Amino acid sequence: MLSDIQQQVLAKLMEGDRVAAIGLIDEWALHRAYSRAVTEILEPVLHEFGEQWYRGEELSLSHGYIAGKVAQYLMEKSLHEQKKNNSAPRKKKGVLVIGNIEDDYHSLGRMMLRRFLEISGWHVHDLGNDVLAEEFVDKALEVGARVIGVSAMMYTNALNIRKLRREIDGRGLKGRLQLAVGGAIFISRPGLVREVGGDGTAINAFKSVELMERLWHKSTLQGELP
Amino acid sequence: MNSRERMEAVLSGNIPDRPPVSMGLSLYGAGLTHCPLLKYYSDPGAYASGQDQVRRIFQPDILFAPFAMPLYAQAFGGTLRFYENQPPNMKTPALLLPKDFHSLSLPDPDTNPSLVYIRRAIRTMRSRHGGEVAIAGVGMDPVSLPIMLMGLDKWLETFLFEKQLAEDILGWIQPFFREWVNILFEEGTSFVALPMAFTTPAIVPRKLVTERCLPLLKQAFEGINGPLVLHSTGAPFARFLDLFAQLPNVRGGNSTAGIPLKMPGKPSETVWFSWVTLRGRTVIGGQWKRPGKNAGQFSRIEKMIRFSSWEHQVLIFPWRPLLKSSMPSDDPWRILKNADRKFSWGGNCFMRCVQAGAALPLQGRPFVSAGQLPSFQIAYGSVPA
Repeated sequence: MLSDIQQQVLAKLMEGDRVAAIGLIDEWALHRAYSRAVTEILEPVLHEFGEQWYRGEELSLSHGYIAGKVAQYLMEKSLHEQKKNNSAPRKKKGVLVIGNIEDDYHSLGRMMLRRFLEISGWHVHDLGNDVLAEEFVDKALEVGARVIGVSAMMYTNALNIRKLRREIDGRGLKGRLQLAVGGAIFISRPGLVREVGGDGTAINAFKSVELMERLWHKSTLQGELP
Repeated sequence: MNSRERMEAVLSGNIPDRPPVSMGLSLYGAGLTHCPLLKYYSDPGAYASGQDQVRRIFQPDILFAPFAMPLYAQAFGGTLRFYENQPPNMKTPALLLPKDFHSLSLPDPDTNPSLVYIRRAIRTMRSRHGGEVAIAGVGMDPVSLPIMLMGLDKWLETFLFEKQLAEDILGWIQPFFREWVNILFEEGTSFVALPMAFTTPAIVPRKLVTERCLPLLKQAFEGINGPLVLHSTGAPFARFLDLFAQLPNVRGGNSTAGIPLKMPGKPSETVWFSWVTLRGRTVIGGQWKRPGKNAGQFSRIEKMIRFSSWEHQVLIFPWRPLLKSSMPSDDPWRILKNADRKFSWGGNCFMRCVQAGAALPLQGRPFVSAGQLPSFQIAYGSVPA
């Protein structure tokens, strides 16, 4: 059950009114703190927003962008507040590597994913579009990422993810380096996750946060990365 | 009636002898002529030869001009990535920073290689088939065109958060849209299909479409000298059809989700394209996240279907199995399966539709094996070249 302020902010997000949503949060934080707004407004509102998207309610990519923008504003305010008060920054959850698979140039989904992962406390290395399998794995090992998030929009391009699966397994990293797959094509073809060797997928950028946490945990049970 | 007359009858609100039937076979022509796609999408003669084969084998009522939106990105100065088995994609956009749009020039339809390619392909198709077959031009609506300048992510960001800049870009690009679409008509197209890549419910909320897109679309469409058919680009489209139906020169729209063929409240001459239709019933195709998810949409569709009439529909079958194109909506097998999942009559209706549609334009040529659903792709794919 959302509180009054949470419901008001959610309503503004649903209307696509970024300025009004930020105004409500600013007013609330005036007598409290932005760091509290993150946990007491942003996180529950984004959770509910993601649930509504998941349920197929009439939300568009614009809604996601606007929610991301509001969240980004709030995180920046919170960070500024922490620096001003010399308080300890929020601890990062871990490091992730994301990118669009070889031949894929549809970056919109990946950019939303990156925004929401960062907001939720992950350190994200975004390799961009058209990334080769070995580049993903090299980077993951370099930065200590336990999960690679790979995106593809088109079926034919998504099949290139099989190369990444082979690369991970070929280096003996199966289980320890998890493979999250995503993009429009995985929603319409659920069987594709298995076909390309993915360890999991999420229906949208909001749900991907939970997915990454789950896969990260799964990876830790399999042992250390080299 | 020949195919062109049949299609023009529908577009002008008259009753044709039968509904026009076609298939999305723009790319498929390359498969039939074994033409590498780089050549197919840059050599007008190669494209036209592919469409010659499409007509020879399938005898559709409509032939399509090159259906590859990234050609417009190339026209503006972007680079493309070509593939072996699907149309090209935009690799790098012409604009890295939206605010730099002033540094670009609008492409000249008389000299720009991408635009000249499209024009010559249409001209060649018209000279070979234009008297007998309707030729569909393919443009892009002015609110979606900036995607081809900078990519969807940057255009969405600009549209949402930099209103003035977005309006400046739209004001700059609109004259090109109007000039280009009118050129497509001059070259001999019977109608122009406009993929609405940006203004779909999946991307923009209705409020923004109403307030910011519709006035601009109305202004842009007013200057067009022929019928426009809006194309869903594979995204859900039904929620905005009532808005778009009011725009000047719009005579129809397609929906890969098999949404309505005709708008309630719209004059009877309106034609709505659909992948699969039969006698006022629509088999639902397109993308499904999971069974039961779109129950509300189904109910809406079923209500709207009652408004449609067989005579004013055009059947467009999705089809790209040989080349394995990857848009989910292009997978007839999935459409079939999902239709079956929701409606017990879905599969049968689809088959009847395919048979009915096939029997007419193909003059009895075997199209699918009746009742043999699994053989659908095989039968269709094995039509001799």
